[in-house]
Amino acid sequence: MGPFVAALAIFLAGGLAALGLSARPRLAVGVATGAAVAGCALGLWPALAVLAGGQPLDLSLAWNPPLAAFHLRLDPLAATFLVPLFALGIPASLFGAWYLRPQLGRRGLGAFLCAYDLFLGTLALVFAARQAVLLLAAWEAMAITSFLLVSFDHQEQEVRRAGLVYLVASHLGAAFLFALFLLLGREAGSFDLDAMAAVRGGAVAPALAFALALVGFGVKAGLPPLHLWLPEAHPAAPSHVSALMSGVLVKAGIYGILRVVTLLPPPPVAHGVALLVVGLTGALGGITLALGQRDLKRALACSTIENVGIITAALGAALSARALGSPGIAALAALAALLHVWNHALMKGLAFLSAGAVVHATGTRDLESMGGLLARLPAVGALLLAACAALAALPPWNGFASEWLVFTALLHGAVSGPGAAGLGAALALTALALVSGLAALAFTRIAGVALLGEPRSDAARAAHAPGPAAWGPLLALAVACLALGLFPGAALRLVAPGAAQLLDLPAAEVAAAAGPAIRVGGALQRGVLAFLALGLALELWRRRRVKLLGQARAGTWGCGFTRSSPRVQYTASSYSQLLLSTLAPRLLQPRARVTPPRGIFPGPARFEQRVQDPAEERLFGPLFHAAARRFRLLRGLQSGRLNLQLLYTLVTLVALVLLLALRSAP
Amino acid sequence: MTAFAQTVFILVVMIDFFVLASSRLKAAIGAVAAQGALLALLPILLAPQELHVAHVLALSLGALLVKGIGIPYLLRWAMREASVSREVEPVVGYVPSLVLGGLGVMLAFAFSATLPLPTPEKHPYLVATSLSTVWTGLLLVVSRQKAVSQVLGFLVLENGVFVFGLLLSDFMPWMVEAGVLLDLFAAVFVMGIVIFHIHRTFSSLDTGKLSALRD
Amino acid sequence: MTLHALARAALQLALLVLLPPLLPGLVARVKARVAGRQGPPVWQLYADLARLCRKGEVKSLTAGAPFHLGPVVGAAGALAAGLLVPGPGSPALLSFQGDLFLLTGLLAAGRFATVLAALDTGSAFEGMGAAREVTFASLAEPALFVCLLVLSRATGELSLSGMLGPALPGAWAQWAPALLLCAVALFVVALAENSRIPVDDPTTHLELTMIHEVMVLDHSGPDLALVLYGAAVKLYVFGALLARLTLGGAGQGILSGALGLLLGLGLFAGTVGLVESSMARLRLVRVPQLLVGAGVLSLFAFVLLVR
Repeated sequence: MGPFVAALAIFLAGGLAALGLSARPRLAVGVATGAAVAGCALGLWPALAVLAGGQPLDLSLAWNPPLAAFHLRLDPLAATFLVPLFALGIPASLFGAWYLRPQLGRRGLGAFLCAYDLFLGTLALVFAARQAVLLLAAWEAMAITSFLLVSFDHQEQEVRRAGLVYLVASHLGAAFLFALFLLLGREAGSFDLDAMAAVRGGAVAPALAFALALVGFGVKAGLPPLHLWLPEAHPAAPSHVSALMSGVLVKAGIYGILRVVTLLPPPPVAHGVALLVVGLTGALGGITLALGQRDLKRALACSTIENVGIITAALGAALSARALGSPGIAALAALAALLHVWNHALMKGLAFLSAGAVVHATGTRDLESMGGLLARLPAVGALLLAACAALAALPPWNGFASEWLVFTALLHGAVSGPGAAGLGAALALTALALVSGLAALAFTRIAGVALLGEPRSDAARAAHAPGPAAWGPLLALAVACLALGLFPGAALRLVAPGAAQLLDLPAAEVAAAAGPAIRVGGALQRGVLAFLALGLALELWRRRRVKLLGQARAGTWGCGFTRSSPRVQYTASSYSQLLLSTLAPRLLQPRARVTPPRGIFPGPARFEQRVQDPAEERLFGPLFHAAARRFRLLRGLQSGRLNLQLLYTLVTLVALVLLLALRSAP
Repeated sequence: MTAFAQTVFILVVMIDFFVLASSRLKAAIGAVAAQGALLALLPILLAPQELHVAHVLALSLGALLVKGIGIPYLLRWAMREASVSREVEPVVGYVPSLVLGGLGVMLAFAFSATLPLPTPEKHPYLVATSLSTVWTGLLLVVSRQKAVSQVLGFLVLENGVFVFGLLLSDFMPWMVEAGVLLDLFAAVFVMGIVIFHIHRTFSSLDTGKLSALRD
Repeated sequence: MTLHALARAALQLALLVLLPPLLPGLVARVKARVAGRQGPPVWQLYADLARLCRKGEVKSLTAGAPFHLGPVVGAAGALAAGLLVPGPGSPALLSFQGDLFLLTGLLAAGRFATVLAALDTGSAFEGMGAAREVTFASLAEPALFVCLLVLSRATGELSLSGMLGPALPGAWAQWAPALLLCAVALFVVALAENSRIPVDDPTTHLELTMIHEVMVLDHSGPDLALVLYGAAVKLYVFGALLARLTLGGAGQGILSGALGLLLGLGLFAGTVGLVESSMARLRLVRVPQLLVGAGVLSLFAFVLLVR
């Protein structure tokens, strides 16, 4: 436990030091980054040790606040989520140091750096906390620090709005968590999670507790329809923050749900099915939303909704299979989900960081103003391309390995499941196949429009390649993505204890469930390697032929049109138009306003398109508007005069005291 | 015999899918006619050994004449008369209605075995096919714009009811058949008049235009 | 590994590498015959490939490295997918539980690279073709999944070689209607994945209506040879799957298996040719209907099995 606590201390010290060094920004960035990297490296060690078969680490310290206790434990489930935090934290922090260079003179930089280090610390604390009050305190601190990070560019109206949406969503979610832990704590007679786990929820209806957890933690995880803050906050935040939020913070929601599952009686099938349905909805909805986005980072954020959906669906399948008495399938699905947590953290981190570098070089997040960037930013462009291939779940990248496991788990269920179970698994498999097909569309769109072809704007034409300080950390991430794709067996052995803890199965049985295919040197790996070898051989052959026979260069064939220009290129909107306008449900179709050219001498024509999110337009928009109308009546109370506000406080206090006195009177 | 009946049931469901996906009225009418003709085979295929041959044959022949020949002829006539040849873009698109239809059929086949029935099932696919066909008919009636397509949906729905009626035909002979056929006849009669009147009033068969009647 | 097994593997590999270019030739021949023409010789594609390999290439000024990656990855993906398809009377060279998802993954990787190669040229037409290709593939993929799921459920096997192997005749005896539906759906998927009529017209000369062909307009020389070869291998992969499925694993011996495979491939090519001769290309907005229909059909087949 020592190194872990030391890591927390380093985060705290680094953050405070950066705040203190505000006057010397270069040093402050150095200190904060150094502390972040050191803390992550230090924390990674005990987390990996626990997963590699070490004993869970425990630590209890005295802590004064009522009902609270400082109780930490690194058990396999916590460690499984800590590893991606620390692993992604190192490259993200290094990238952040490069990213902040042009901002050195800015006011508030010290506060930002402080919030960044504290954010890493609170996130680690969330995963390790074994006491409900501590967990909630860390949870709220994490929400506030991440809010501060999102609002870094608060001069922009859009960013302020995003920050507000995020803060409101976080707090509404937290309200459900307070209710949940109050209920559980009352039953257990203690707010220690171990005590809660011992009574297994007591008299609290498991369905109620599960629903509270699903909503409260689901807000952070971005489960539909609570995902609204995600596409707002991710593009607004600086890219290394978006990477951490998308890669790890969102997973904290998943972790919370899983932790609550371990506190309740063994979940019935209904809970698993609920997770499965919510997850599939999120996966399908998220990827469809991603198809319509013009903003590069917003599209990546929508893909986060998709991937969280896949993880949730796999967990749902695992819990259902466990309840139906097929531990082998359950183990396979749980392994797939946890492996995807890791893989997604790495590949989405890579995607956000390389997107950040691209945005940095071009000064725009608009896909339609990019284009031709692979030629101008070769290193960063190639890394973004790799991230897109991984996110589209293609071999040999890591996204494929975990998606293969999810599919295989569902295949087992579809083949052996009786009646409705088999049918459900088959339907889930079909839906996920559709998701992966749509993901291919979404990521060829991002990679193709942003990186390939001709530049679509002057900004893209003038983009300058950043140095190795920017892409060095990313290269490490890309190598990790490839390694996990080629050797998923090694990672599987590490996530197996977490899956075993979740499903209450022996760890050896879970580790064996993945079968011979995914082992190091297993059949899946041989297939992927054969693919790579064939590709390499064909490439070498092609190079030799071209060298022998020569290569001429000419303009792109314009099908008879000779005055081609970059503006005739297929745009991002037209790329997804066929699918969105003919196949997507009407709720998810983008709304277009068209002024077509008219007459013999046509005037200016316009085409405007806006993606709508049904959760916002149909659900939360009307809800919040109605609430706002009702609360307007309360505005009269808010005069802005200090003594009046104090009077309210006084009145409340007196009322409370009176209430207490009356209740304790005989 | 059961293997053959099984093929007939599967073909009936295939035709359901086809009608859901097809935009050309002519092809859809042909498909429904084929469905009617297939249904005419069922009374013979499912007849218990000790049954009156005349009864079965009459039912079968009646179904063939009404469902397979008569009504399709009337509908083709209505189509020509009103000069519509394809459905306009329906309220629920072809792909969504195909997906919905598929889901309904899946549910019907997965859960029909658990339904409590008054008589023993004659064939494991009978109730499922009936429910799927009724579901398809309902979908068509709800989602299509042109009156001719809606009549077509109604016919498909009736076909489903007919299949279900076969289950009860030993239970209450004649009643069911008479009811089904009469029902169908009345329906077509009424819808024919409706088509005629809508067409004469609006010179179009787009039922969407009926909402113009509101004051 | 015994000598016998080695010989089998060599035969399988040889078939996979050498046979595919024959299939498009057969299809063209059938089409020509139906239309009353003589048609090109069946080994036309071999000659074309040889000719292209001897030619230099012309590369677009816009294009970069992804432009070359398309043909290479496309062909490598199709060949690697071919390794997973059971050979004549023997399991595939590589077979394991869940290998069907590797097959779809490899095909998807090839498509991803081809699409990026098309977008790399910056051409409006190639972008259009790319968008169509991925859009339709996103619908064909679920249908393909369900088809394989039906096979898997009917035989109780989790690998391609298992589900198309010795367990298949028994499954046909028990589940004939479902497997027939599955075969029809798989055929539709094969047409869509290989850009044949009624989804795409491989012989059209109007860029606006093309899907696959328009994506590779700018490729020439060895690149184009790889593109054509990769497409032929992909056709072979689907043809071999369908041949095994319909002929029910006709014989377990190497000779009868090889004969069955050749017969099945010939039937496949003949059917594709007949479909192409008798149908027109569907309107673009109708294509999704066809693919969703194939998916629904195979889901229905699955329901028949689950009952």
